[in-house]
Amino acid sequence: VTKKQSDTLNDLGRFSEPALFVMISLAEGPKHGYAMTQDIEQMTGQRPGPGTLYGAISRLESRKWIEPLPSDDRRRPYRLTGVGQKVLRARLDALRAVTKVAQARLAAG
Amino acid sequence: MNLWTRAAFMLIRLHPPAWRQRYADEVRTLVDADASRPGLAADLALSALSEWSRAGGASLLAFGRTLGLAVARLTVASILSWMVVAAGLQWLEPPPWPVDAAFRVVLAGPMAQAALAALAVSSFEWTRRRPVLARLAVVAAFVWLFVRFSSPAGVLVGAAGGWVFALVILSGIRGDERREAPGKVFHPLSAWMATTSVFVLVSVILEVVGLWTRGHATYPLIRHSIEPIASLSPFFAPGIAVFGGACVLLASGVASVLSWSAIVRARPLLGWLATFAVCWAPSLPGRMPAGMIAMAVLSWLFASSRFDRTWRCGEPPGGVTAQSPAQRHRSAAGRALARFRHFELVSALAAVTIAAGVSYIVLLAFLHITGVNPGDARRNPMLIAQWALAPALLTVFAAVLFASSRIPRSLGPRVPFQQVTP
Repeated sequence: VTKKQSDTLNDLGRFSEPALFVMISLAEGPKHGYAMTQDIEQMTGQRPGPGTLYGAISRLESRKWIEPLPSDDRRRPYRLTGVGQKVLRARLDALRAVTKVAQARLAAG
Repeated sequence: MNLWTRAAFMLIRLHPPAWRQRYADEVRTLVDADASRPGLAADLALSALSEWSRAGGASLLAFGRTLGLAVARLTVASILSWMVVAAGLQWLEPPPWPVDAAFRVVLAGPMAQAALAALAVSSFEWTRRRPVLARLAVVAAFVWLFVRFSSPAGVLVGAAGGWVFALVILSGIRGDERREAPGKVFHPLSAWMATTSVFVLVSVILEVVGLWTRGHATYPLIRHSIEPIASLSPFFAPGIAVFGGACVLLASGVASVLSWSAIVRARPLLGWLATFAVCWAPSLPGRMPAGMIAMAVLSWLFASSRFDRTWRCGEPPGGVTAQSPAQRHRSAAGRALARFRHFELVSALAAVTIAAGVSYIVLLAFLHITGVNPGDARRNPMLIAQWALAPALLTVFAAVLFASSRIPRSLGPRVPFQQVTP
């Protein structure tokens, strides 16, 4: 994953955080919207609204970081693509580095 | 169903159509499953705003990019083609500006020759195979143009403006090389707007600069062809001007539409031949309405013609086929020829012959009525070319477009058009 790709997650604006949560949720396996909502609520303590959730999904899908799976139901499951996994990994690495620095500074302070 | 659920469903309907088609069912399922609350409606309202701004921004961007690319291509093609004839006209008449003759001889002369040489190569190579050479030709053409029509005091400013303009266009061409399949589908409206705006822009620049620097019409062709006739018979002057202007503008309008299509669809040879006719568009009264109407009609004909669909075959909405540019060009040419039925070919040839003959007769009749000695007129080959070939070009292009449009098929039984998969 190039720097440009990982930066693009930040370029999602107000959807960058929900998009990250969606990707983390899908890292476990394919899920439909309702399952994602519940998973994100369990993970973060906040329930994303349907507009926010599908705003993030549409942006992730347009970047081919997630893809829909065929379904006869109204609820269509999504899964993380290979590129999406790499983007997510790069983003988490970046967050880990930031967290490490922050914790070190807090400990020093 | 409570108030907030109703509001949520209504807000889902307020999203852009593409979004609704793709996600509305899933979102409705979520709303059904979720406990209705004001926050949910607010979330969907924000989402609708966000999606509309996203869709609108993308559409505007795509339209602007498409229009800009079409304008850039047509401007480059028109000016380069016009330059060929302008260079020829320079040989026909002595330099009219003794003050800046040195500039033209030292600077514009070699530059024009270099640009012409580059044009010969770039007309076949364009930006695909020899991008650097083609770009050099573009830059040289613009600098040459601005120098050609600038007063000595404005040479530097004009040249600088030419470079800036050229750089803007070059950046568009570079962007075009990077673009992907969806951007390749040009809308006829964009073509019409592009041809119109380029034509108006170039005409206005040439006229304003020409009138400002020399006090008369920019094109030497007009002075040589129209002014003597008009001066001999003032009564017929407006009619001659409008007729001539309509003819050449119609031809140039067709040429513009065709050149747009040809260049966009990577058909350089046809593009250059078509844009060569653009240079025959002198500045005459009444030309703008005629040109506008012609371009509108011809764009519509083009949009309903086989050519548009033929040239789109190689670039389906799903993406460009995995062919090299050369392969794509050959296959596109083959497909175009395969569609070009004998009937249309014979009709087109007949139309050229008849139109050329009729135009020549009309020309002689006008000269006879206005009292001009046809012998004098015949001494000026450009006059004959302008008056005879412009209507001929118009006729043949219009005939081909008409023959390939939906109109004849709607008038009687014809072989249905078959889409050939690339």
